[in-house]
Amino acid sequence: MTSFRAEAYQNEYLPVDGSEVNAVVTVTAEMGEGGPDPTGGAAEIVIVDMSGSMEERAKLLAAREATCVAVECIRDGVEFAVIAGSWDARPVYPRKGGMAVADDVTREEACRAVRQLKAAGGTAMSGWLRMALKTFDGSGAAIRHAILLTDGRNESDEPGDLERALEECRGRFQCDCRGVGTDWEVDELRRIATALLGTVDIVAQPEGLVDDFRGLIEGAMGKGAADVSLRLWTPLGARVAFVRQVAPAIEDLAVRAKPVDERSADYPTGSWGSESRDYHLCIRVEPRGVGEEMLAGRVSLVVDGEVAGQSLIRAVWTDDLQLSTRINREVAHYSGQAELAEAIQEGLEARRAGDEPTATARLGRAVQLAAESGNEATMGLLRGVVEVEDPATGTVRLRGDVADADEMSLDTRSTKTVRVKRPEP
Amino acid sequence: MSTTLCPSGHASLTDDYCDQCGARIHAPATDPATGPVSERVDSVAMPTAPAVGVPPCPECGAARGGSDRFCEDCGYDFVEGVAPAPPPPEPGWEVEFGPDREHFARMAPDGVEFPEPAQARVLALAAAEVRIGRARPSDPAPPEIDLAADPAVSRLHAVLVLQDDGAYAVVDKGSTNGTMLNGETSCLAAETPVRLAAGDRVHVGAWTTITLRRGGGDASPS
Repeated sequence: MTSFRAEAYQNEYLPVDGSEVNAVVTVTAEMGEGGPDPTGGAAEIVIVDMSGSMEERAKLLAAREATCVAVECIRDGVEFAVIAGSWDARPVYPRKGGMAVADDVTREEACRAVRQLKAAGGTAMSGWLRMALKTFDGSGAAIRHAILLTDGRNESDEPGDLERALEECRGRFQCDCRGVGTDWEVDELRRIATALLGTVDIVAQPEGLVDDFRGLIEGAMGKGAADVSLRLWTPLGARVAFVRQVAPAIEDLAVRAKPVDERSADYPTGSWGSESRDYHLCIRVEPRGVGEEMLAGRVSLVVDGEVAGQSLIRAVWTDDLQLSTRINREVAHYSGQAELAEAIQEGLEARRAGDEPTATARLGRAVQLAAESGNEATMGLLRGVVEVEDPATGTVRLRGDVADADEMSLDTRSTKTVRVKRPEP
Repeated sequence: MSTTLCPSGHASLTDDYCDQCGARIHAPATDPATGPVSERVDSVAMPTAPAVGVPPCPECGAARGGSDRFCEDCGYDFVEGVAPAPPPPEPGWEVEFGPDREHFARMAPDGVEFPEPAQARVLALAAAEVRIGRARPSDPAPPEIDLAADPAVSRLHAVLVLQDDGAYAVVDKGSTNGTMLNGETSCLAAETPVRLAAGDRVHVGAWTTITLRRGGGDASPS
C-alpha cells in the first residue's frame, strides 16, 4: 500500500485586480512495509534496436551487454520479454512471443538469446511499440515498463505512423528512451518518452549503458502504485494557464489533461515508488474585492481510481503590498528552472541556425540561471558548449569546437531541475 | 449526498469551499486571514500564525508564536525578559538613478532627446515600499523616486518592496512602457515581484536606469 501526501506552497495574497494564482505542489509517496507489491505485479520489456546501423562491433556488443544487464536486474516473479527492432519487431525472448516469469533459469536463457542477436535492416519504431503493447496486453500486470534503446533516426516509418502508434500506446505502458551515439534525433525520442511518461537520455559512450539500465530497471521495479493522476478542480470562470511537473525534471502536463467534469481535469503521472515530485500550477481567476477569499484550485491525487490526498490553492485579495509582493521561494525557484530549460532550448536552436548573437545571449542567460540556482549538473553541460567568463552576469563565449555528444547531452538533460532548498523543519 | 449552500447560493458537495465558485463556506479551525489551513492530508504553507491570546513581543511588537522562547523577529528572550544584543549594523540599501545611454539606445524612443548633462541621484532606501513614478506638480505624495523628467515613465510605474529577508523586490505596477532588468529587452510581468540583488539595474521610461546597491562604506553605525 502506498500513501500519498500533497502540500501546496504559495503566496495566496493577490494585489487589487490580480488574477494569476501560482503554487508549487509537492507530492510525496511512501510505500508501506514490505516494499513494492502492486496489485497485479509488474512487467518489463526491453526493446533493443537491431537495425543495420547497430552492426558496428562496439555498439552491438554494448547494446547486447546492456540488454543482458537489464534482464539481470529484473527481480523474481516479474513478467518480462525482450524484443528486437528493425523494419519490424521480433521476439527475442521468449522466442515464441509472450512473456516469461523471471527466475534464475529464464534470465539466463534470455541473456543467451540476446548474445546471439544480429543487426540488419531499417528503423521503424512504430512497429516496435505496437509489438510491446501487444505483448503487455497478454499479461495482467499493473505496472508496465519498457526501455527503448536505439542509435538512429526513425527513418523507415511512414509519416504519421509513429504518432498513431504512440496514441495507441498512451496510458497503456511507460517507456524510457535511450539514445546511443550521436546519430539519433533528440526531439524524436523526446516525443516518444513524453507520450509514454518516460525519460530520454543520451548514452554517448556505450560503456555507460550498463549503469544507466540498472538504474532504470531498479526504478521501474521499485514502483508501488501503478496509475496515479493529479486531479485539479478550479472554480467557475477560472482558466488553467499551465500545469507542469518541475522536479525532478520539467514536463508539461497540460497536453495530457483528461476532463473529468466541468470543473476538474486529470493529469496522468504514471507509476510511483517512494519518491517526491513537485508541480507548478498557474490558474487565472476572476478578481474579487479586497479582503475576499476564494479557493482557486483543489489538487487531489487519484490512485487507481481512488482519491488519496489533497491540497488547497487559495487566493486572498489585499491592498497591502507587503503581503501581495511577498515572493514565494518555491514558485520563484521553479519559475527560474523552467526559464533555464527554455533558454537552453532557444540557445541551441539559434546556434544550429547560425544566429550567434541570440545563441550567446540565451546560453549566457542559462549560465546565469544555472549559477543562481546551484544547478551544477546543467552548468557542467553548458560549459561543454560555451566558455563561461562570468556566471553572475551570464557573460559567455560560444565554443567553436563543440562535440555532438556534448550538445546532445545538454539538449536532452536541459529539463533536469534541482529541488528547491527548504529550511530544515 | 448532502449539499451546503455557499454565500452565492450554489449547492456545494464540499463544505469548506464552494465546489462551483470557490467561495469559503465554513471557516477552518484557524482564522483564514492568518492561520494555516490544515485538514486531513492538507497542509498549505502560510506565514506563521500569531498565537491567539499571546501578547506581542515587548521589544519590537512582533506577534509571538505560541510557546516560542525567543522572538522570531528580534530575538527577544521572553523567559528571561532580555532584549537581544543589537545586530552589527549592516549598510542599508540605496539606489542610484539617472539617465542611461545604453537603455536609451535600446528603447530608441521617437522624438525624445537624451538629457544633457546626464546627472545621477542617490537615494537611501528607508521605507518598506519605495515608489517609482512621475509626480504631478501638485502631487500631495510624490513618488519617492520621482522621474518627472523622463516622459516615458508612468505616474505610478513600479514599486520597490522590502521582503521578509531584508532584500528588495521590484514590482511593475502595470506601467505603460514596462520595466526591464539588467539590459534585457523583455518587460517584467505586471504585478509580479522580482527579487533584486546588489548591482541589479532596473530600467524604466525612455532613459532611466535605477541601480540597487549597498550603502557605501561611509554608512555610519546608528
